[in-house]
Amino acid sequence: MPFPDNCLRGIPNKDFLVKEDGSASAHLFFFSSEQSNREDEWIEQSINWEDDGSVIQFTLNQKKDSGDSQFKAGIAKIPRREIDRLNRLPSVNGVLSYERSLLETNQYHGNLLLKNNVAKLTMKKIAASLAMLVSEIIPAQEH
Amino acid sequence: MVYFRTPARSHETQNIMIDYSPASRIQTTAIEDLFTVRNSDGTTSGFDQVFYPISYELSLLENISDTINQTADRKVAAQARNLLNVFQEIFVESSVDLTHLPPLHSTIVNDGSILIEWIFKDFRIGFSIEPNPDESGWYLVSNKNQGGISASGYISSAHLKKMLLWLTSFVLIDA
Repeated sequence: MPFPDNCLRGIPNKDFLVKEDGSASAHLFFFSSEQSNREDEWIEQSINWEDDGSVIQFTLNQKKDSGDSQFKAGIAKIPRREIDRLNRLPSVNGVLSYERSLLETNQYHGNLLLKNNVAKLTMKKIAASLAMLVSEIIPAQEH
Repeated sequence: MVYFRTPARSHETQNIMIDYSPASRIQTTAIEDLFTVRNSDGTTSGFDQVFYPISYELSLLENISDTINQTADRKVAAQARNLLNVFQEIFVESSVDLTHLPPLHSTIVNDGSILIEWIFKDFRIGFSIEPNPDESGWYLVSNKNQGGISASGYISSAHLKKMLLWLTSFVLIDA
């Protein structure tokens, strides 16, 4: 299945947003090898692919096992072509990728991927670059 | 321009014009003297709150100070405090107007590090203060409007003040 124009990264809480201007903080896109149980050369972070007009609401409605909203501070939208452009920079050089990874309860699920041999500082720099690519922050709905 | 804020009424500020010498250190008692009214009967009266002087330049760093105070890891706190002190030095010594700049933002990350970011429309500067000082570093990234810059380095190997001066110069030219 081809990839759509945008992916969506859920924002767990306001700690991941910069209070002064509402932009995404870099650590929203930090990759963690501890949280990534893969056996290949990648570490992952979850996204949803914006395949159709329902995905934003679907993502905002996602719940944790406890029943609480999973993304209390909304969603960050990132254009896929910008991820591709970032990945072509000499300083990034192909260490980024993405995939679909369908779940039983989430047909839109995917992952941003980073090679697992990237140094921690480089990972954080790339995360900051991803934060800069966010085209829109969609706020969580108040209940 | 020096801004004053009282602890009890921190949402209020009073704008006081003071001939502020960047090299001076304004003591709290000296500030209280400024607000003491000497009455004709020899008594004194004045404000009963304590005023803390905060220059705009130093208010750019206020969030970092708060984060450091909340950090449990002493190594991380010490590194962050060192970075903060050098930034303070640069800002206070600078003769350039910094009032158009946004404050630095900081947060404690769940990997035990402190992330400090200085965020602008087309670029951002970041510092990651790690539990292992050899892994602490800085980065400068920009979007395509600013040429797609991607630079980074380790703090332990840098002459810290020189590095921060260079990053601050970039901010002043490009912000």
